[in-house]
Amino acid sequence: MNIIQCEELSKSFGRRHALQRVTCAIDAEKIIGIIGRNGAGKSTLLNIFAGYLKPMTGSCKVFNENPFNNIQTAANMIFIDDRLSFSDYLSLEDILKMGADFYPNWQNELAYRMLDYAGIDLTAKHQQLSKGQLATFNLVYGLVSRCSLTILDEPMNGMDEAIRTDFYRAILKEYLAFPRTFLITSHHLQEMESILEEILLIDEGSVIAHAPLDEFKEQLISLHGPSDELADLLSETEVYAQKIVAGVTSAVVDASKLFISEEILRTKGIKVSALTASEVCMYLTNKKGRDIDAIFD
Amino acid sequence: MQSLTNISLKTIVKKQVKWKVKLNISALSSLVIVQIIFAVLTSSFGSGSYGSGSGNLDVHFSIYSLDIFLIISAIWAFIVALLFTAKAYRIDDLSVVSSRTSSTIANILVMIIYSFIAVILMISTYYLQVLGILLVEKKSFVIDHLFISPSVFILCFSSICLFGAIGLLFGTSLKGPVVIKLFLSTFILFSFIYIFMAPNSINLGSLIMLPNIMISVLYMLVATLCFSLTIWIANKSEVSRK
Amino acid sequence: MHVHLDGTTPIYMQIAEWLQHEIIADRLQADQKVYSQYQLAELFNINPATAGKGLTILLEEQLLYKKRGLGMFVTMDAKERILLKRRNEILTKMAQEIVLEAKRLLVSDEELLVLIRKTQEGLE
Repeated sequence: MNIIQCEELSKSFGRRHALQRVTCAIDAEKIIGIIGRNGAGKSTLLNIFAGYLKPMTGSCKVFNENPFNNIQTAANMIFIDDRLSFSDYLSLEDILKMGADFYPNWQNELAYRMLDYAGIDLTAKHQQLSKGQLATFNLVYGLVSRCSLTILDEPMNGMDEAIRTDFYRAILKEYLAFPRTFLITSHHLQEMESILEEILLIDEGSVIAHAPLDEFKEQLISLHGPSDELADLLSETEVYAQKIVAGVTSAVVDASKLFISEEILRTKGIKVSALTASEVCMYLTNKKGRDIDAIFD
Repeated sequence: MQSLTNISLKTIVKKQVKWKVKLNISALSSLVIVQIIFAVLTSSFGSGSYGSGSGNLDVHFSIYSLDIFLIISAIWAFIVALLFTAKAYRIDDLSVVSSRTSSTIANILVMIIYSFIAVILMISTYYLQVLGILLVEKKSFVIDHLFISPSVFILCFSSICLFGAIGLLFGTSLKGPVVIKLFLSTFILFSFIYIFMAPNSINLGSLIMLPNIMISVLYMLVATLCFSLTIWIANKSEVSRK
Repeated sequence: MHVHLDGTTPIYMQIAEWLQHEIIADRLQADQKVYSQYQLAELFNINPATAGKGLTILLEEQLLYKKRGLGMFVTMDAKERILLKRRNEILTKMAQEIVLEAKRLLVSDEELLVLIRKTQEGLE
């Protein structure tokens, strides 16, 4: 049974097509990064997984059931974003008590330790927290609920760098202690790359890539060398970006369409280097032919 | 793979009711405050008064009854119900294990519980008002009904419930699917207009002649209808934190 | 060792290389149990599946063997085989680069051999 199974999922808001015929599957407990530009459709997709929104066409199954208005799905799922809200009358300590009441796998002790580490006062109210403290508390709430499907929508928004590092590690450690499916969105892929198993890249309402992290990174490579040597090569493969400065070309190409070995390239004076996952995402979602330089030329 | 938790709707509804009753206590305290204010305001003249005089005798009667408190409580129930369906409260529900169905049923149960408490508060305020007047202004009372009969109690309860139910339905339909929003809002609007514009066409006279119990049953039936519609609409509604 | 995320070498390769290094350095001995993917994940702050890929590479090259239910262990001749492989791969690659670079700098073959001999003598 797949954890999540989507078939031809579409969703529009008025005239805006948020998701277009998305088909994807998440097959086991993994840490998956959901990447995409603003407005790509990430939040819409996650809201459908959570059972908050209904697909227009197509289907979505979470734990083999339709998640919409489904109490069984809700019992095994938690959605954490910066709009997580609680009653004004609850202190953080009360919120934890409430969480413990609803979520069967709740780890209250762990919550106390994490919040103590982050220096957050449990007698404070949720509304009184600073942006960073709020993000920390919300993430802790999500982690200690130990739900089989844990969705974290930009969980580190507002946290300072040191605490971000700590909490990426906290996510990893919790995953090791109690495996579950983590879907994490972020605009800072490079920060969380090392803990990810897979990447799901969304652009303009479609899933344009879903693969294990390494496979994803190896899709594109960077070539750097004399323009005359590279010219023929580039015409035979798919080019994602190209820059020519003083007879030297830098280009990003589709690695699968390149049929020359690295050694031969080296003899021609062409350097081959790998890209970071962030860079691959950027090139795959760039509109071909459009880059910032064009504005200044 | 980790085994999934199996949970019953009943369990979750119970938990939600427990927390919602606790957290929205301020709604009840606001009712108490409003009732006390009205009690003080109407202590001089009651909900109606008349007087007559002949010769050297001037008699002034003030009527004190439950009416005003019932009206206040009913309006209060409507407003509180509307608040329960407001966005801030709906998204709070998303922070715990819940579905649209469980949250709506929980809201309904809380409204019923609060309505019951409201009746008790209402009657207490009424008695306090009478007591206050007796002690402070030392007027004489002609007592018509000293003890509130069960049928009056039930009538008050069902009236307050009804207004709460209408409030919930109205609030929920405003956030529901567009079609339902349009249909229900128009329907309710026309109903209000009809009731206020043409009171004579509704033979309220015959209704008033009915025993309290029957009116109560009628109110409860309509309330139940409203509750059911509310659940039906909520089940179809999408929700979002944005 | 810290895992480098700059994109030059995939993380699972870095793990594989680190393990081979540990074997050469005798910190992991023949028939000794190696770290599990979970231990590696915690040690290097990476996803256990990635760590598992690194272990699988060594398993496929038969530098590690699996004991059902107990984990992965270092094979008898792992150390020797790693040294041999490195000798071949790394030195071959370095040799290629030196020869290419020499050509680019217009250094003749004889001059290059003299340079290498001098370096060897310098280290002795």
